[in-house]
Amino acid sequence: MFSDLNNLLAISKENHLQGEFVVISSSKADGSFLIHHFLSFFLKQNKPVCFVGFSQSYNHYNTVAQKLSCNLNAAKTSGQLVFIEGMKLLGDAVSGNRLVKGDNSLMCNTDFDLQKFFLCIKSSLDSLKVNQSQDPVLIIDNLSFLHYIGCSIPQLVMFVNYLLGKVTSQGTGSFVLAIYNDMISVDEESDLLWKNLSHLCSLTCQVTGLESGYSKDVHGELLITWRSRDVKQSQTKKTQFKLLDKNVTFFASGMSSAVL
Amino acid sequence: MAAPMKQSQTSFQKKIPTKLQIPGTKPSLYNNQLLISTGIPSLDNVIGGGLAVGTVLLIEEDVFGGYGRLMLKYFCAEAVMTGQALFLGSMDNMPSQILNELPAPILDDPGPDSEQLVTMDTERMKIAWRYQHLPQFQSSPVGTKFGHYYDLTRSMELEVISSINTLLIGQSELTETGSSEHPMNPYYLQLLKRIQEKIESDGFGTAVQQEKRNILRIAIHSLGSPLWGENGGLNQNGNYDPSLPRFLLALRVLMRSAFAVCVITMPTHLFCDEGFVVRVERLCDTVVHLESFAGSEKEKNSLYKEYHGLFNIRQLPSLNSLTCHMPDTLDLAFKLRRKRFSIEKLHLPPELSETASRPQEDPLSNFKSPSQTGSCGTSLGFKNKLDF
Repeated sequence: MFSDLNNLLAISKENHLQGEFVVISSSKADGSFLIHHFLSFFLKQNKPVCFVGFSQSYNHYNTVAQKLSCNLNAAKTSGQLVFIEGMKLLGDAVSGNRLVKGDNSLMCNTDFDLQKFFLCIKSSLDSLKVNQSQDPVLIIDNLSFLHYIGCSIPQLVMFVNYLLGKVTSQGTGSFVLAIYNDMISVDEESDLLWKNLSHLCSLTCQVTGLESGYSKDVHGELLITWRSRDVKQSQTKKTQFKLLDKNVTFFASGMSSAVL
Repeated sequence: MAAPMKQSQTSFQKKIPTKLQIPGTKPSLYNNQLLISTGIPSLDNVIGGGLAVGTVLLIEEDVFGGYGRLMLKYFCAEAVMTGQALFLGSMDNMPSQILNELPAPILDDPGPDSEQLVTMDTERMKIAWRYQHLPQFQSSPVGTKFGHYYDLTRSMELEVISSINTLLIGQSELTETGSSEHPMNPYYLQLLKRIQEKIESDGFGTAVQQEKRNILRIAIHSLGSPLWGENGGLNQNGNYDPSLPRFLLALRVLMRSAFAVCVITMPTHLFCDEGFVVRVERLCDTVVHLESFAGSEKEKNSLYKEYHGLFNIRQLPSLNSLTCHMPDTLDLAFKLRRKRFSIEKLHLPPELSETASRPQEDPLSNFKSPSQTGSCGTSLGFKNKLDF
């Protein structure tokens, strides 16, 4: 949990993203630090969290969370956290040879069955809500993997819409979603996904690499945009960052300690 | 009081005693991951010490594929030298052919020379005599070395290669077709099954308890070439074919739960869709890209005359940590000497003669018309206030 980032995102004690839909996009730089931040942040707020990890194994998330002084194992046993090992689930589904036992297969003919997967997430959200008597937070890292293995964009947008309805309908749950969006390369479909999601969401965090290329001391730029219905209120913030072992430092563009 | 004191003496022990010593591995300094060498020490150096166990390295081949294949051979040769198991799959070449062309190792420690020891003993230290009685420290621990050097002019003896556990998967092993109705290209599926069988049968999985651990090295040559039935991510009807991403995802899942490392070379220059290449890269952990000068304009450029191609690091994994290894630069160059392939920092050749300018500077000066020299240029005949 990074306190600087909370200030940037205007997160305070009263307002911790209830009913918000946050989309994190990364291109040319790794935005996964935001995911780790949100995971430990919501767990420390005693919120029930459902986490779907497509990009890494549970072990990775757990080790990083420990560095941010947050224990995923304890949260799991206390029932505060439901961790869905999306990577393993997806890998087993597409390799097909050791399908999930019985007829619980997540594949429908040759395609990944998003509807079954939605029901799987829905049931864990429901059980979290009943057990913790609080609206849960859903974090998905990273939706683009579903696209890569062959889910079409309209399907994915529908999937996100269903999840959004499920999580934020009461106005107290939150939904954090990460995608890859390579604006530089010509991947039209991922651009389409990004446009659709930014249409739905209330807060976007765009992590991009530097325009001037790779640097050892400045790891990327973060553009935060609040989308409110009132045009006057919507605001953006741009900052550069450097990742450290257990923290992230933010500074204004061109104000890196390596430059000055 | 004395007795409990004695017991508490042991409280300052290493947190994790050296529990598993696998030949040819070392722990990473950054994230405590177990690393193995790629066989090219200069490459290990730039990617943060080596390849983490349980990850996939993607080598994007140069246009003729020669250097990519060479790097794969180094990776296989390192398996032989460290006694690790090797799984070699190829569709384009016979895997046995690649195995026969492995470079021979340079063995630089032929053991302590007895004669030298005698002379050392008689000739006492004259200077710094007070260090004489101190025990001799070894700066580097002996045992299995991490990363070897190889001589490309000679090939490794077959008896040495046959000493390790190898499995070769070629075209004939992969063409057994199963059911046609499957979410993946049959070749990829077959390859995946073979890897899975190998991991299960020889106990490389992390779930299996074993007395003596070893690492499985998986080398796949030219994955995604037309012989694998790949068409740059498109199927026959021109729609998106997710076979390759699916294979890589399933492979990553397999690797994460096994003591194995996979190196894939892939001719990504054959894929016309840039976006597809990016997707493939995202599904691997470490990605490097080779661009050979052979047959390109850069071959004749005197700037590059010391190198054989450019070497780009496209992606580095962040494993168990927020950040990945951050090298000084991602743009490097590779060089193939008579005996050795190495990756070096790209730098300009020294300017030896005082008068000669580089030939590629000449066209620039032609473009410069006198009016364009806005800065302190030295255009004769045109007097600007700023000129000197």
